[in-house]
Amino acid sequence: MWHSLVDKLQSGSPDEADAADGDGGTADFELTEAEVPVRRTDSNAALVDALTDVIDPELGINIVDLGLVYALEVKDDEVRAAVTATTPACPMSGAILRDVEQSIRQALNDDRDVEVSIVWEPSWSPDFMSDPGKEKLGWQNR
Amino acid sequence: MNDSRMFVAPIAAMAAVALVGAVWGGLGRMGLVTMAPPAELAMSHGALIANGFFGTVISLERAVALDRPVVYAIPGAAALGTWVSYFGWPLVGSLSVVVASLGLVGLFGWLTWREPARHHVIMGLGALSWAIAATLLVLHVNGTGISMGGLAPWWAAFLVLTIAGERLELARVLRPDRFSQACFLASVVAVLVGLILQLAGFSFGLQITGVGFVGLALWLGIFDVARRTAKQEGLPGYIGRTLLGGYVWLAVGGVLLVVHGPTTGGLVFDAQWHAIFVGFVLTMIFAHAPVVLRALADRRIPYHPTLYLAPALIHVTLAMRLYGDLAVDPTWRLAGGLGNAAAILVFVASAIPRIERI
Repeated sequence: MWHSLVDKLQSGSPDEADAADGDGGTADFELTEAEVPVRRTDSNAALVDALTDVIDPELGINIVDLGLVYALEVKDDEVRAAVTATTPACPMSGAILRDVEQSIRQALNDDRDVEVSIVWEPSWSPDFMSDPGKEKLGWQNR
Repeated sequence: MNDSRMFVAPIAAMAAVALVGAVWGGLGRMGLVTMAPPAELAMSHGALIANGFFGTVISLERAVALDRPVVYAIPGAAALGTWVSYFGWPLVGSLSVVVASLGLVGLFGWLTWREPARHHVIMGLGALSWAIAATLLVLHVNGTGISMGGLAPWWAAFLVLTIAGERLELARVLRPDRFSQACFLASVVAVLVGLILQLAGFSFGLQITGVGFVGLALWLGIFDVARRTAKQEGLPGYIGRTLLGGYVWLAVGGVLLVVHGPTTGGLVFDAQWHAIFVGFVLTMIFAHAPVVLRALADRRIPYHPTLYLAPALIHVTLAMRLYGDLAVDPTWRLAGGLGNAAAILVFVASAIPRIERI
């Protein structure tokens, strides 16, 4: 019985969770610590800037500076993004997904498909925060 | 909407009714309402608030986080068990709450297995405390001499460790050093060792638990992100300042446990546990309600200064209540208790008209 419960949880693990509202995609991103998080570059600046509108309501810091945006793929016909939360126990992850999707759609302003997934590998680490994020939380004083 | 989300509304509704029932029953216990509530509401006050509201909402948050139908069985069993107990099947109902609490223990066991992290272990120990409280409730129902008052420390440990575990998780953004982590773990050990000693018949155990609560309150006041976010404007500032106020009450509850030791009822008991359940836990709920509503229902409570009214009223009226309890002054106690209930209405009045759909 224990095994079947674990299997059930595993099969429904957040790794494979559909994006919120059922219109997101499955997380087929395979990411390593070296690849995350997404940082602002000339090529992704517009979308990354748009994602800075998604703010953690408690910390008052955006998800880019928190290092929660793990992947951003822009193609001619679609945009795919992968985000994480600081823990799988966080109930806000679904809301973050919806906000990310909305911000990307607004920034694109065209009819490209947008697919946002939540991923849990690699686990989020405080080291993923950007320098401005760390500064806001007082890391320079330590 | 994902299919599993359809469970949120009925479970949340059962939790809300449990909160109303618990408050009504609490007022009945104080002699403030003598008519409508049946005696059972007053008798079930602790189970309604701890299992029917807090336990249900906490496990509902986890179900939303993991977003799988099977996990909704945990808050569902807690909510249904509470009401099944209330409506005349106490054994079936209390066993249902045991199942729910063990489900939450299993959930954190699974999370720890996936990602071995201290905060998952702490929250799992909180869930384990709930399971012990639920088991004691089954024994109480079976007439084995366990008093309802004996459940309060375990319910408190459930809520305190769950909240502390969540805060430990979030505090990672501040890079807690080894000293701060050691203080946290020592406090958790004190809470649990004290409870185990108390359960084994060593009544001084509860005083050790009180020391643990004071330790956690100090840790939260010093190392939690709230100290930083309290300096911000808007919603983060509201959450931070409200949390800091709640930490003071956790310390007060711990000090009262240390000073007065174990009680099974009466005025000191009222002061000890309501400092924690109302002052600490309910204040946490006020602080996080805008975030929780967003997570559970995709609704937004835009920040407005009137949000501060409810936690401020809690602070003032709980101080009145505790003064009444400790000075044996029924007028202050009743006024404070009524004010505690009014604070919930004030929160609803300040938040609900502003709720926006996302």
